[in-house]
Amino acid sequence: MRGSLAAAYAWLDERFDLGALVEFARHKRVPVHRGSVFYYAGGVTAFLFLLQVGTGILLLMYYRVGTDASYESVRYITTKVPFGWLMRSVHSWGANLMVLFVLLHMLSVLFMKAYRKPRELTWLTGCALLGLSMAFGFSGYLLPWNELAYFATKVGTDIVGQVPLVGHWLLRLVRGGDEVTGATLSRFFGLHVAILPALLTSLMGVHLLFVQTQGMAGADRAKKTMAFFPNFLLRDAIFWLVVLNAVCALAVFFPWELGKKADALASAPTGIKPEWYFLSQYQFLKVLPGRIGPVAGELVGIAVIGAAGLVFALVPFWERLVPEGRRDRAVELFGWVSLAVLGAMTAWGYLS
Amino acid sequence: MSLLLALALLAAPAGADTCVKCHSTLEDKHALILRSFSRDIHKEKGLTCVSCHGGDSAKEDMSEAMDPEKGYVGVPSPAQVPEFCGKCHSSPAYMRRFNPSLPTDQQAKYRTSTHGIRLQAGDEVVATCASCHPAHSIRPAKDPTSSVYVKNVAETCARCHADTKKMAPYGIAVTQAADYRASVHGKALLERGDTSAPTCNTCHGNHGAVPPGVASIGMVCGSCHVGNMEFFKASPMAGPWERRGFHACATCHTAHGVQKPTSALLAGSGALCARCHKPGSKPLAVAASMKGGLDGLKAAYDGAEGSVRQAEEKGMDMAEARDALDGARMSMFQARTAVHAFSAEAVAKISEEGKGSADKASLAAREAVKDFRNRRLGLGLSTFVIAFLAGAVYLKVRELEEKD
Repeated sequence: MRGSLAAAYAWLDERFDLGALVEFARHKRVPVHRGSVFYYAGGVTAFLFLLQVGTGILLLMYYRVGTDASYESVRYITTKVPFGWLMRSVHSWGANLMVLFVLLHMLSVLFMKAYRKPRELTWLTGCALLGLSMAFGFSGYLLPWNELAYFATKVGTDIVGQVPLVGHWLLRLVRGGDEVTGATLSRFFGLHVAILPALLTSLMGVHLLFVQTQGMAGADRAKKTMAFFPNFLLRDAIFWLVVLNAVCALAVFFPWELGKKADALASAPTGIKPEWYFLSQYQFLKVLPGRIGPVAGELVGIAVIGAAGLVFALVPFWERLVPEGRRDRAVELFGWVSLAVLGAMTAWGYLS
Repeated sequence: MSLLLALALLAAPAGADTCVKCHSTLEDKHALILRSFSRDIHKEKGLTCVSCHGGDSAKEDMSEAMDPEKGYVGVPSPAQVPEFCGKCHSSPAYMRRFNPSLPTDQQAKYRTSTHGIRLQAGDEVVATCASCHPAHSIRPAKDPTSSVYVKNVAETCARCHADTKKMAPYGIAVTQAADYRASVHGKALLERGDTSAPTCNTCHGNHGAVPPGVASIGMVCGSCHVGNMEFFKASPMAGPWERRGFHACATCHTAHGVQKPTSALLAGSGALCARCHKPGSKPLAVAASMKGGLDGLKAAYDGAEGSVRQAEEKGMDMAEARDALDGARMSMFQARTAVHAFSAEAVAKISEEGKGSADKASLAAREAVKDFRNRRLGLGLSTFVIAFLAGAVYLKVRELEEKD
């Protein structure tokens, strides 16, 4: 066996110069310190993405898109297809955990200041990956065509309509008309299973290429390091196994509910709220007054949320404006204040 | 008084309504009329005092303004009220200008009502238009503040019909309003706010109000409880009851205090059937059989519902079981309705169908709970495998790190 593996390796090495790749992997080091555990967040996110792709493909075998088929097919998947309930729940829980780990990964990068030169583009691609993950969540939420999904999409896309000048055009583009209908469902389906996977896979490739090319931040000046291959990768695998088990446990004990089929003529269920990763923004928009001066309150809210997102994404660039001695503290303060505001608004949203 | 009137007329702007000008200076009763009238539907539609009372509101001189030759009729007596209101409300051509969908047969119906018949016989104590539609503060029936809004009708009727003094001369009981409030209908309307539930005028009519007689009470109840009426009419009870002058529905359910029926009405202590039928008789055996069918179905439904809820609490999708439960629930309604056919076979057939649906739901719930247990078992096994794998990888890492 060992002999045939070695022969296969030699055959490939002759053609693709695998030796250089192996040499590169052997020399890659990961810093070891008390915050090293956060390095695994990126790997777990990648694992969860693969889990989403796998369960998503299996769901696609039975899912049918359309106002008269989506809900019924998801019900069929959860009640009739062997292990369909597991695939659907793992897919839904996995999506939430993926957004959670993207956030965790980004926050650890922010607090470790790993976004600094020469890693500005790695940070920016990470921000774009966060946006794409949330878009994945939003588009996938509508696909079962249930009551909650319908109204969450209605409220979410209403916000798009508030954008000045192009708002109505954007709204029609997203919905495929003035209302959330079967046309919206088809668009979201296409977005969820074709456009977003292509974008996210490509961008993740670029992101990983940057990480591999530039190495881990601080690895060159760390007192203690660990080999990336195979030590770090094997430790990463342990986390993947733990996360896989956690997702399965969530699917068994808290299977994702399907609820009632969407009905455009029904009134919105009371206390309807978006997914947790949109809740802080939703709550912020909800508490704003109808008008702030001459401008609609919602419009001001969208501008503030957009500006906050931009400030977050541009950290590597604006932090240089802060005197060097205070730079670390300024970024940490920014990080903690952002976390506190997001946490408080999310908690408020849940409790209100 | 004359001085006050003279001063009021001098102070009033030219062209203003002199009825309002003068009456606003009079004692509280008149001021109240003016205040009330400001919200009256007639005022909203552009009518004024003279539209009903006649006279000439442009004249400042009282005798000219209230000149009978100019149609002034003043305050109508109770006997005059139907004619007074009917001047407009009985005229389709006139009423069409304001509300084409408003009926114009109220006065005609009123004449046929017990109230109207007594009024024509000279009894001026009975209800006329203004008794239910208070003059000068009339609101449309759809307005929740109206005295004839569906939720206020019982209170409006009770103003007279719950008054012992007023009802004593007629020998009419005064418990109807209280009975109604405690009834299944009253609770639905007044407590739950279900405006489709019946109130006084739903059964008695409004302008043509009469107590439904034996001949019509079945029809009255049957206008909503259609199935019950159809079964009863075809039942062996219909003929004998009609001959004996029994009310088709009220004999068992009472008229105003109708309570939610249970199977206990059929058999057991306090059963209604046993009031007339002898112990050991065939009709009582039929009643006991019907009770058995209803109780058996209810027990099967309750048991299945509990099992389905238990499975749902574990997060299992029970949509199909819920559909089966809905079927069993529908059978419960149908079986209760079929009781009015007084046929043990009819009730048994529906009850068995319902039990079949309930059993189907129970089976699905049991399967779901079993499935949930299997899921937990599967999770336990996979946790074991994953823990083993994670442990093995960890040991490998330790080995590698020790080598380093």
